[in-house]
Amino acid sequence: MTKKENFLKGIFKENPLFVALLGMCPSLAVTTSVENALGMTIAVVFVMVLSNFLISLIMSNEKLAALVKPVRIPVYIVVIATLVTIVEMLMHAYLISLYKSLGIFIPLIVVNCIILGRAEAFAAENKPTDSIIDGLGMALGFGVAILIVSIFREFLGTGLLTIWGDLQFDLNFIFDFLRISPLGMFTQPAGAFISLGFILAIIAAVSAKRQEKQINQVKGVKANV
Amino acid sequence: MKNNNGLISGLVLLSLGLICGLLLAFVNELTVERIEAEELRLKFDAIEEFYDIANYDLEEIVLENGTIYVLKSQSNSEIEHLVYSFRAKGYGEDVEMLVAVNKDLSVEGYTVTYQNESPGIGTKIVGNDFNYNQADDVSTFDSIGGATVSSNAVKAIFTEVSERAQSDFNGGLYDDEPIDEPNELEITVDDFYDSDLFDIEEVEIEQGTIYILRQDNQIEHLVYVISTPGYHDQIEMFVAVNKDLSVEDYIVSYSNENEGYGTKIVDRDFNYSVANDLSTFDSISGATVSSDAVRHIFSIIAERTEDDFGGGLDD
Amino acid sequence: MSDLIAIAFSAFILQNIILTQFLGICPFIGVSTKRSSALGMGFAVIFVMLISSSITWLLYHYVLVEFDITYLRTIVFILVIAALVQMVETFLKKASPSLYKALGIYLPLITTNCAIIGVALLNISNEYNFVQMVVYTMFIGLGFLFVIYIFSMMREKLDHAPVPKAFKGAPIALIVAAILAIIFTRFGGLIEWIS
Repeated sequence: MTKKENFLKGIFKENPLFVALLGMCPSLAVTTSVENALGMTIAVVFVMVLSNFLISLIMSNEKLAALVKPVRIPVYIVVIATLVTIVEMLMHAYLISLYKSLGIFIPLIVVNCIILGRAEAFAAENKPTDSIIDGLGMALGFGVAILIVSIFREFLGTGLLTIWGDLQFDLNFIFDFLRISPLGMFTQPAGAFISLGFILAIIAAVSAKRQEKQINQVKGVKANV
Repeated sequence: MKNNNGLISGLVLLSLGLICGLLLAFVNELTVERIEAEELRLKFDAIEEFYDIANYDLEEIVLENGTIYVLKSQSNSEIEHLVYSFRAKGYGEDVEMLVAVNKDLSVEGYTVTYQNESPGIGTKIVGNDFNYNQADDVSTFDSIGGATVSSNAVKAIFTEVSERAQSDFNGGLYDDEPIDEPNELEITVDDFYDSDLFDIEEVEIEQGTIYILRQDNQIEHLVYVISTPGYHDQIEMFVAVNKDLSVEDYIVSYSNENEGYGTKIVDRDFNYSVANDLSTFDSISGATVSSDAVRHIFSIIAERTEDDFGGGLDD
Repeated sequence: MSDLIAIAFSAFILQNIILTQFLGICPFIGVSTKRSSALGMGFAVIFVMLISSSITWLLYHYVLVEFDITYLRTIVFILVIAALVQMVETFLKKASPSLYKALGIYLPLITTNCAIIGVALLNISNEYNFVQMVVYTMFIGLGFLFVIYIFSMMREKLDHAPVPKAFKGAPIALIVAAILAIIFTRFGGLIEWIS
């Protein structure tokens, strides 16, 4: 596997949210605005890249790995929890409004299955550089996924797209053109479930089409032979 | 061998925990000040909607169900505005509001700072005009039809403000603070005059006691011990007056006033120097009740002192 | 007393942990395909949640606050919960094999269930006292059990429903959850009615 493939698999082929269905709690809770989703992405990228790096650093040293092996899950948890707490403190100090709107979901990155999952499945068995790339890919894959959900929800719910702070796009003219008002339901809990459900269905439909095409191609090749 | 390994693994985990703990302590050390400053800024941003904070001295009073921000004038430290940040039980969670009140009890404005009400119904409380204009009058309150619980939360906050605004501006602001130990001093006539030089007689009057200091049967000095109700408790004062009606000195021997406000009466120069002349009296701004109590004591003395020296006491 | 009732009601319905706070979605989607497993998971969550919330609450107020190290709460809470789940598992295995049989397989899943640590953190940020904390945790747990159980009944029916191919599995489950969420938020009208 090349480095590029390693990086891209997190975003497409093994996307943690859309393909593996991991990390659903934050993807439902913090997707009310694009800004929140971006903030969550930053936090997850930071924690995941560093946790993958540190854990693979520990586990690639044979002596240390032998010692850590029986208690590796607690070790992972301690490393991840430390990184999460650091992110929490930094966000509280430098991005306070984002910190307030993400609330409890910042410390909950600790139990985000994606991070612990990658630590166990990838970082523990690969070189530090590869682990960093894997962590970055996976975290960005998660980020892209929640960004898509948040664009879907914020646009349908309010007609706005809040990118960062005062940088906000008002797309209400689309609703005006259609002579309807934004569907407030999409910013509410029910809207979160519906959005994610529909996006997952669209992805399932698209990938089913693709598979069909591939099978047809293979069949075509066989028929030619 | 296996047990040994377990022990070492435990030690590894423990040392990792320690490293992480220290690292966090370090990051905490770096960020804690900025976090506090940011939290404060966030609060002040909301107050800035109503007043320009830079023009006032700001004080924070933390109560059980909220906080009061006191904006005092920088020149004479009188309370100019009060911004109440109160919470009340709403539909989902607590509703938190800022209510800004001016000195004349007019409501400068209010804003919802936290709510998690049901969208489309309870959320209407944000930015709604509840027709609440005079701090001590909630009778004009307009609730939002269909959002009873959320409106009631807002009304509860306004009611709380209305009940205390008037007294807060008059110095009652510090009532909820724990009352400190009373200021109590052992005062005797010796604190003013050398008692060996005089024959001392004690006369009970309605409001206290008068010590008469005589030399050769002539009244030289009178020491009044008068007590009158203060803010929480009685205020007792010793006031020593000479024959020429000049005030030798006065000492507050017992008081239990509001910390930081009424307590200023202890050791305070009220500019009271002639016993029967109260016109020079300086009261303490912001501690009206306590100052009035002191003034009341002085006025009792002022009314009778001339008569007392003139022999009125013998009756 | 009335504040406890308010806390209980809003924990159970209005702030339902799954449908409005989005905690514990993984087991909600993952373990709700059968009624029996939904019940097992629900009870296991209530059980662990009550113990872990009590311990973390006491630790927070009597150790972390005391020593001024509240910034360690995330790391302490997650370790306590992980250790606790291990201990409960070993204990149940020895003490009550039948209970272990019923709940055992759900316990390991609970460590990474964000509902457990989420409630532990919420108890702190909501500034509850001990009694309020117990009531809140209890009813949050019951709310979890209630929702996951009704949801599992719906999903059993869904297996036989003609669902479009692309919606099979998680997507339709999420859409059913959305309908449940709408119902639950509207239940809030009860509060208007009571008061």
